[in-house]
Amino acid sequence: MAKKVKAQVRIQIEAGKASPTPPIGPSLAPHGINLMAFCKEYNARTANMVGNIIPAEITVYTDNSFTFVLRTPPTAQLIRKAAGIEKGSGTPNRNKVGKITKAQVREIAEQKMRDLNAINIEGAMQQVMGTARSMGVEIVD
Amino acid sequence: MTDSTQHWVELSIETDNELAEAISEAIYPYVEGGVALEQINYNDRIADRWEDETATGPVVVRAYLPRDATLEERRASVERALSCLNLIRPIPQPAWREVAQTDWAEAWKVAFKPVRLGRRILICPSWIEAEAQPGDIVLRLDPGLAFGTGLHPTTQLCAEALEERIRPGMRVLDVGTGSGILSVLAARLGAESVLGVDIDEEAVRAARDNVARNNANTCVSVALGSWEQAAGVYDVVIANILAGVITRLLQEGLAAVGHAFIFSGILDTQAEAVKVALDQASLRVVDQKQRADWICLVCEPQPTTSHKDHGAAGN
Repeated sequence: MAKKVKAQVRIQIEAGKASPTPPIGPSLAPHGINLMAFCKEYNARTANMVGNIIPAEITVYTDNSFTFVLRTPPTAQLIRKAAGIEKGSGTPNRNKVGKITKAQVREIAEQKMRDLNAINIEGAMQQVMGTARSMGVEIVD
Repeated sequence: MTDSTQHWVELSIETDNELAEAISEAIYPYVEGGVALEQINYNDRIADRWEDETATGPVVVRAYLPRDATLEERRASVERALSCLNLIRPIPQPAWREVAQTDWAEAWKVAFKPVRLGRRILICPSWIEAEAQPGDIVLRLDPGLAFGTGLHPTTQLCAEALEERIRPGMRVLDVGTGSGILSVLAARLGAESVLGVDIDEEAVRAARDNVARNNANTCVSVALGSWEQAAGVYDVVIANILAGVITRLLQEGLAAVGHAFIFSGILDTQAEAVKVALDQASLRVVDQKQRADWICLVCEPQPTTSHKDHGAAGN
C-alpha cells in the first residue's frame, strides 16, 4: 500500500537495552507506535552488539504503521574505541585527548559509508576527521 | 507510585540534521537511556520505494533526565557540554520542560479506535471490546510491526469492494496482504478459501497472527512471495499495493489468474497509467471508487478477447 511518511525518528540507544521508558516512550508513543513490539524487535536484532550505541531509524506513516532500520554506531563512538579513550575533550581546541591513524580513519569511514552523506571514501574520511578534531583527537600517519 | 524515576525533565533543541548528530553526541553521556531525533515530514510526497522514504523539516533533538537528586548536577553537565559545542558552532537555545508521568507502554494505544468500514464491517483493536450491531462482521487486529489499521483510504475502498463482490464459496487471492486485514475480511464475507501472499517476512508473520486471532485458519493461508504462489484461477484477486507494482504485476501476467480484480494503492494522478496497463492485459474497469486522492479499480476480463478468457474453467 502506498503510504505517506508522517515523521522519522532516530533513536540513539545502547544495543539490547530498549525499554518503553525515555527516550523511547515519550518520543514514539505520540506516533501511535506499538512500543513493546518495537523494543522486542530492536533488542532481538541488536542482541549480539551489546556495548555499542546502535541507532534505530523509525519511519512513521500517516496510517500509524511504521518500519525501522538499524544504523551503524555514531562516528564519535567508533573514534573513541579506535583511540582507546573514554570520552572526547571538553576543550578540543586546546586539550588533545588521543590519537588515531589515517588507516583507522579509513576503517571507520568504510564502516560508516552507507550512513554518511558522502559520495566517495575520501569525502567520508574528511567527515570522520572533522568529528575527530572536534573531540580533541589528533590524526597521525 | 511516587517512584522518583517516573518523573522526567525533557530537553529539546530544534536544529538541522548535521548539528543534531553533534548535539546528541555531546549530551549523550549525561542523559538517561539515550537520545531521540525527530523529523516531521512537511513534504506531501509519496514514497514509492522503501529506500525513498525521507522526511523533510527541522530536526528536534530530545533527551530526558530523571527528576531526582541528580537532576541539577546532570542538567549543569548538559549545559556545559552544549556551551563547549557552541564555541565551535552556534547551537539554538535548548528548551526544558517537565514531562508528566505516563505509562508509555500503554499510551500509544490511544491512537487506535474501532473503525467502521463499508456497511457492516467493524475493525477493532484486540484490546478493545467491540460494540457490534447485529449482522456486523467484526475483525480483531493487533498492530504489530506491519499493520494496516483499516484507517487508510485504500483499505477502506478495498473493504467496500470486497463487501460488494465476495459471494459464499469463492476463492480469493490477496497479493501484498500486509497485516492480512483484507484476507481475513474476504473469509468473513464468505469466501471458501483465501490465499494471502507478501514478499515481506514481517508482513507474513503479522498476517498469520491476525488470521489466527480471528479464527480464520481453516480458510485463510498466508505464504511468502508474490502471485506465482497462485494455484489455478481465483474468483477475486485483490492487490492493494502501489500503482507501479500493480502495473508490473499486470505486465507479468497477473490477469491470467483471476475472474475479477480489485486494485488499489493508486493515486488519482496515477490512474491513467494503470488503465493503460489494464487495457494491455485485456482487463476492463467495471467500477471505480475514490476517497481523498486514492483510487480503487474493480476490473474484469474484456469480453471481446476470448483467448484471454478463463471464465469457463472455474465454473
